[in-house]
Amino acid sequence: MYIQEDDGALRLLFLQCGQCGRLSFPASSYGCRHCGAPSEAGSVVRRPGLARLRRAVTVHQNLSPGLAAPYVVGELELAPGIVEEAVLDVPDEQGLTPGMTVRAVARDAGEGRYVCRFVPAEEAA
Amino acid sequence: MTHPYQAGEVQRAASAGRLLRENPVYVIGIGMHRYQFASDTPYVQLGLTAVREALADAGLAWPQVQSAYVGTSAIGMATGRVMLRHLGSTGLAVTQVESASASGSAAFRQACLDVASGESDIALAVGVDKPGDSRRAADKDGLGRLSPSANVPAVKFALMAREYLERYRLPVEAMAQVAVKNHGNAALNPYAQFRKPRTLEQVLASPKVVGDLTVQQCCPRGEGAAAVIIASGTALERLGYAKPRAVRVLASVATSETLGSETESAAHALVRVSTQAAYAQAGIGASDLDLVELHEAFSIEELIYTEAMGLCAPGEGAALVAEGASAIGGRCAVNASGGLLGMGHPIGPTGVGQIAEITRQIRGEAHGRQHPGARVGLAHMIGLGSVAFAHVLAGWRDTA
Repeated sequence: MYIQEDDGALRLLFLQCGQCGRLSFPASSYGCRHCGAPSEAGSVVRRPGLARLRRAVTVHQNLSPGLAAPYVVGELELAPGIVEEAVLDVPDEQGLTPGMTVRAVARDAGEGRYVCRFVPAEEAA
Repeated sequence: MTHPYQAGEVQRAASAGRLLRENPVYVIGIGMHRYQFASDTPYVQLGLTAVREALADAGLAWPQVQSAYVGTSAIGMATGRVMLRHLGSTGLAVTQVESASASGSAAFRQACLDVASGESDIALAVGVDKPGDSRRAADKDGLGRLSPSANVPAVKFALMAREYLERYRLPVEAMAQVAVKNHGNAALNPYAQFRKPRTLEQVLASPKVVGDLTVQQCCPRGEGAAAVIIASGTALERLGYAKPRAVRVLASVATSETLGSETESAAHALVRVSTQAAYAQAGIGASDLDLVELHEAFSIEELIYTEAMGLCAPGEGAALVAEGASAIGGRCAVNASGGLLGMGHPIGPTGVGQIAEITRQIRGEAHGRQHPGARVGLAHMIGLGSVAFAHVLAGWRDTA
């Protein structure tokens, strides 16, 4: 889904279709979500971990394992037409506005692993 | 430009519509086991209660049923035969159907097409479920997600709610009114899981789940069963069935989600396309509907879907509720049963329960919550993934 560069920045991995040229996310998709071409016909492309925030909400109850509430999730446009839900590493919704740019950052998940979270781009700079 | 997949759906829907036009099918029996919180009651008892009630309502004996479609999501393999053998081992065809929240709707559609195709003369659609482990295929597809709640419907609809309320500059009360209306309807329904009216203050004061959705704006988990008997016109004649009690299925449509766009969400498009295909099959428009039972697992869905169905203009879904147009006695009663919020959403039974409610209303037998002049109804369900099922029903007098 993502990879950490030497400078610490996260880049998102997409599948670029070898037939129609459009992007699918994540890169491990089994085929192009637009034209259905098999993934073998495409290639993995790295793009900067920048996204446009469409909207965000606070999850107040524990709805899924792996993350304790409360936390904030956003609907992000990762690339034209590709919208995914992602976790925002912010204390609350204050300061988040639709249309703002957010950046992927690596956060320590213990045992040498990291997870991808998003923060307002200015904050990450 | 029409999306190629949508054009295909409409073509396929038209084909099914031809079958139902040439070989009419009717709902002739309905039965329910009340929706309730998880209990020690075995699913067999839940299901058989509903099936026996449906058989009695239709005036049929079990050996007269030639095929059975069983909608369930969490019980396990071979639910149908294990349950139905207690009615007698007649050798009928038994098929289990799973389509998440729309499992019951899918079972009903298969039963309708079975009868319309001439394969069976009399078929049963039954939905039965108990809360299970809720393992979802989307969590096992081998693909990573950027959020652990990416496949959790409550989060998806909370994000949609936030967008909707901001776009139309509406307060959270506009959305919460859906829960007030539907809990009020459920209080009048003896088969409902919740039998208590809720005030706007109570709905808003209940604990927040995600975003602006509070607990009372999210459907409960539970268990229950619903059953309907479907018969051909020939069977009606042979049985000497009282035709004014027969409710005809005018349309049966199944579609799945296409990619959304900047101007229309995938969920809105799914409902709009499936509903339009159903209207085309039935030869009706939205203004002909007296009743709609729809999937409001979360309050915001009713606002968005009533607009997508053409019951009101874009942005007018909240006004439809506030002005009483979607109340029992209004222009078109939406979720007169109490819907998923009030009646409950045990998954497998939900879609079949919608058919039972519309049938009961069209017959004029929904005592205590009868919508006056109910003649034409739409049952619409969404299943995780997402898939949609739409059925249009009308009274025998209006279709003869």
